[in-house]
Amino acid sequence: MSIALHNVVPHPLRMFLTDHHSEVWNTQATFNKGERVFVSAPSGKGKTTLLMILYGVRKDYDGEVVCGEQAIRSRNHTRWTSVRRDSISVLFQELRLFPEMTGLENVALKNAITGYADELKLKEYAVRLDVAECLYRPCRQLSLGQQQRIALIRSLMQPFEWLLLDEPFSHLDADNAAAMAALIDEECESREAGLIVAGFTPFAGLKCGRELGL
Amino acid sequence: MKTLLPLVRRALSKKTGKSYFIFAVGGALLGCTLLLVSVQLWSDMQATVRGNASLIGGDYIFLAKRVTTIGALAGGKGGFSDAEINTLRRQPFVLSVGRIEASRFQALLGMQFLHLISEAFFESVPDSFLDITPRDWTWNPRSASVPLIVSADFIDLYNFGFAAGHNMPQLSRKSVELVDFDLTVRSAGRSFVTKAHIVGFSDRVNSILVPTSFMTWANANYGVRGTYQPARLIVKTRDPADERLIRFVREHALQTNAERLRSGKVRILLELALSATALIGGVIVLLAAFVLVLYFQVMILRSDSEITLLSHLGVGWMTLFWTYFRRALVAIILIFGGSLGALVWSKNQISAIVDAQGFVLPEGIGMSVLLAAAAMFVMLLVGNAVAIMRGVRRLL
Repeated sequence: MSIALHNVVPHPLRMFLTDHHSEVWNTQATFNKGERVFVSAPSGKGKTTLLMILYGVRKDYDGEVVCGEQAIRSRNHTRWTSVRRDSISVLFQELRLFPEMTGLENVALKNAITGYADELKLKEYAVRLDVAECLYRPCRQLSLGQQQRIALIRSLMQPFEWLLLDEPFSHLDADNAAAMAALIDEECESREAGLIVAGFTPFAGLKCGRELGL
Repeated sequence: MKTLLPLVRRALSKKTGKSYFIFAVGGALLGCTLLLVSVQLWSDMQATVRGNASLIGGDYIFLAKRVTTIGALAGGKGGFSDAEINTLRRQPFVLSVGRIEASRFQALLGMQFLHLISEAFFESVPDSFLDITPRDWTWNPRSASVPLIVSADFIDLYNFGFAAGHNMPQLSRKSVELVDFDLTVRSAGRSFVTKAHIVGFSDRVNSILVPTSFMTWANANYGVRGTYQPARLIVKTRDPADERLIRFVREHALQTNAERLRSGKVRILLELALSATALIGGVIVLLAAFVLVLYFQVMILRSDSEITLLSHLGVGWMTLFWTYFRRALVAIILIFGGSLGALVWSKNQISAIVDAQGFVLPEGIGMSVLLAAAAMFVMLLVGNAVAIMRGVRRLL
């Protein structure tokens, strides 16, 4: 399902947007179904805000975001719960793992909500991203890079039409970033899902159809 | 792989204030127990006073018409007519009514060997209204002696008042029963001489009693002629402190013995004490319920970021609600299991104490207690459910 933004202005950016041209804010912007978009901007221009608006976490904006026929502002909590279970998945910038739980528990929690994958699949992802042994340690003991990969695996534990990635490679070295980009590519391909990646500069390993500047 | 609920519980388990929880559950347990025990005692008291057992004071009261100055000057006898007695009998609070017959003959009671002689006055009540039934409590015209029952107060008055002041020996009940009195019954020129002896002492009737058979015979043969109405009635009642009885006495200008009033006052005091205990129990329950609600609110606030994250991952609010409500349910069941257990235990203890005093409390736990328990159960359940639901939904 495509997502259209009609003159959306997040409240914290109101002042800034009066003398600044953006390809997303305060204009008409569309994310077409299955499309891969890289949203680039320096800090403070609302990359995370955009993803969180699309994910239903932030509602402090003017204008409308329309998904399908419906403005997402009108969705109630129950609707958002089901959207987050089977339509949109996210990799948070701040990762947001439960620090006292192991990597496996963090991933299994999401999978228990959706029942999407089995344990074998989950471990296969972990091996591919070189975090297999991280599954059995509390997340507070893991490096940010390891946590970032665990958080990505968590975001894959559900069906989705859109995958939102907020600075997905920020804590990774080139090899690990490439492995993660390959996995993201495969998963979006097989699910025919759209991808919105937010970051400073596009990552060469992850092909995106177009780039939007905030 | 694990199912969702244990994982959600694990994600929220990091911050639980055990001491808060124990304090809240302990407080609620104490309050519930106090409340339930006092309601149980109250219902036992009601049942006991309304039933046949006389736990406090008597079930028997005496009624007489109030003596007024005007009435006395007019020479009124102040007796109860048959119609009045029937009206009284029909009252819902009356079990039975007995006429107290008074002697209408002149009687002289004396001890010849001491040269003591005194005018006497007798009354009789139906045997079923007596608190004692002595072995010799029968009389017929061929009997050698008339049995008497006197008020237990009389011998106390003699022993502790008269004997002490007049340098006379004190008498035991047994020795008084051995004394033979001379009884002379007289009316205009005729007389009947016989013996009399005391066969028992009554705590209930404050008079000198003779058997009904003697009273009927003596009144018929030696009594003053004319219609006669009993001046006093003895009434058996379910509850001597019944509101309707008190109102009846007031409306019909009757007077009654103080014993009943005293028992009524004791009961009012007891009811007050039990109400105060129930009230304190109720306040403690409310406070504990409040602490329990606060506990869950604190728990929810302490885990606010976890709850928000779970919600962002797609966990429904019902799952989050249930995670907390499950614990509330355990607490509430603990509170009620504990306080009902404590109630049964204390009921047994109190029954044992009361049994030793010769009274019997009704068996089992009263309906009103179960209703009170159910009401508190629902209150705690609903209060916590609402608080948890609000707390969780505010974070979504």
